[in-house]
Amino acid sequence: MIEVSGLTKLYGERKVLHGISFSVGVGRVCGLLGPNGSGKSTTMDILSGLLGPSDGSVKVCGLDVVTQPQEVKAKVGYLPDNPPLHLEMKVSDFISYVSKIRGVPKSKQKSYVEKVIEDCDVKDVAHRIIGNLSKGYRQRVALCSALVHQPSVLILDEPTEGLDPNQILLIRNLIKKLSQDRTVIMSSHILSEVQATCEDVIIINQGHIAATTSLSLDAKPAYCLSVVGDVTSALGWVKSQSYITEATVHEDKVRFTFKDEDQKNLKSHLVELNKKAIESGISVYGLEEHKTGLESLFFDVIKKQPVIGGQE
Amino acid sequence: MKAILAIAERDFKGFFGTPVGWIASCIIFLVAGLLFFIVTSQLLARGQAVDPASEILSNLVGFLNYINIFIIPIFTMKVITEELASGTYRLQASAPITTWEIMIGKFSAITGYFLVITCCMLIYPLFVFVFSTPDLKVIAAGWLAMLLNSAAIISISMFIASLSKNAVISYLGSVFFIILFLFSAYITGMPEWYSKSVNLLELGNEMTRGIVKTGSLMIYVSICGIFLFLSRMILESKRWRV
Repeated sequence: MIEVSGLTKLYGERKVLHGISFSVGVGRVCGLLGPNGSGKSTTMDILSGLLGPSDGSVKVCGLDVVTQPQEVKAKVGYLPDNPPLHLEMKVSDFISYVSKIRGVPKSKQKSYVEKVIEDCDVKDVAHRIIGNLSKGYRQRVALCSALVHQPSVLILDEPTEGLDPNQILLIRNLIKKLSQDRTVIMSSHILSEVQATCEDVIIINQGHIAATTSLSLDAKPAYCLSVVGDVTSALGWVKSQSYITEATVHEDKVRFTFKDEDQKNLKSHLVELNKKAIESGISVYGLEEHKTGLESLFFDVIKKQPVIGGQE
Repeated sequence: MKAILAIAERDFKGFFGTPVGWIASCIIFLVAGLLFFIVTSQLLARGQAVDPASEILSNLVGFLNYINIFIIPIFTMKVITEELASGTYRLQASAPITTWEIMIGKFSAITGYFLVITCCMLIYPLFVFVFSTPDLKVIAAGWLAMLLNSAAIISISMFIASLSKNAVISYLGSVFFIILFLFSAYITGMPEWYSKSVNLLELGNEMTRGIVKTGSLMIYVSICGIFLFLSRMILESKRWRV
């Protein structure tokens, strides 16, 4: 669906992207992760045809962004980090206007506008002026404008930036719903955001691809038993339990996962395990779910990345 | 074409959806009304005029040329500079339309606004019907002069507006450049063809006397075409800035 090869972008003397390459498959939700100024927004601007690359090739749905920019734009729905909204317009008028400039046929305009208003849950504010709406609603209206022409690729640049937790949850659920029938690329520097929404992650730092990884949303959860004293004997004890499939030691913690058939009784197994451990004389001071390694991966690769002179 | 109409319609409605369009029209009509009062008072004091409609029109065209220098940059600043600064230009730039379509849409919106203004200003020469029977062709030619002069200044101002994201720079830069453009006709040593081409006031005056030359029309079309092309180049180059 998206093929990026050797993508380089220069702003004057400053090299913002250093020949990055990646691909995103059909129907995947891919997160672009990276610190501020790492080149995420520039990459997204190029993918959506807003900026031209200095070097390299970018193909969206098999179409080249340099030689076929109009065709690419017709396939892509783009929500920039600063939502482009005409604040003096009414929500429905604005979405209808966007549908016209995005080339939606006149016969389908009304139905497309109604569908996107329904999908993004802005029906109750459809006749209100955008400037009078809350930030969360404005974000959803901007999302409507990116979706109104029913694109096969959705590019979202920090879609939950500046929203309150409730609004973040709403936008997150909306993205999940939208990703069912299209490829989504979203950028963020919030790790939990990416972890909760994306299947694949590309970490960009200083214009380089620092790491790519896949986050399996249905992976088995791991747990950590924190102990005081002999961790090795605690490990042996944990391994001996019938419902444990794998256990390893990490500092003063024993990390373990339950067998597949025991996944549905997690709560009772955890209570039982805690009780049994104390009864066996293991000094337990904590039992918690282990967060998968995106956070540690992120900080590892950011630390390892060489600092390029004068680069942001 | 659909995209051009959509952009033109949105921007045109935007002028009347915000105070900008209303305040600008109030200023234009207030000053035009005063001018009309002065011109007719002079005509009545003199007691005779060869062609009163032509005299009123030539005064109105002259007035519009001067006031447009200060009014039009407000509109180009709103539809180009403000959109570049607020990021709403990205909405159009990310749509499957060309930069030409965007620029022509915006040009049509502002020209449409001045079409309404110039149509409303026809009330002054038409008022002459109270006293005499003026030549309608002269009135039509004068109206065309008002509209074409406005269109030429709009295209020049759009070019300057596309250069900056700063509203103040855009406004002052446009005013300065338009003055420079119009008055460059009076710089000694300029080729005659150049002085004749950029002297919009003289071109307009000729038309208010009912003389519509193909050459004059071509000059207006060329000025609009050249400056729209330059604006388009500036906006297109932003995509490729290195």
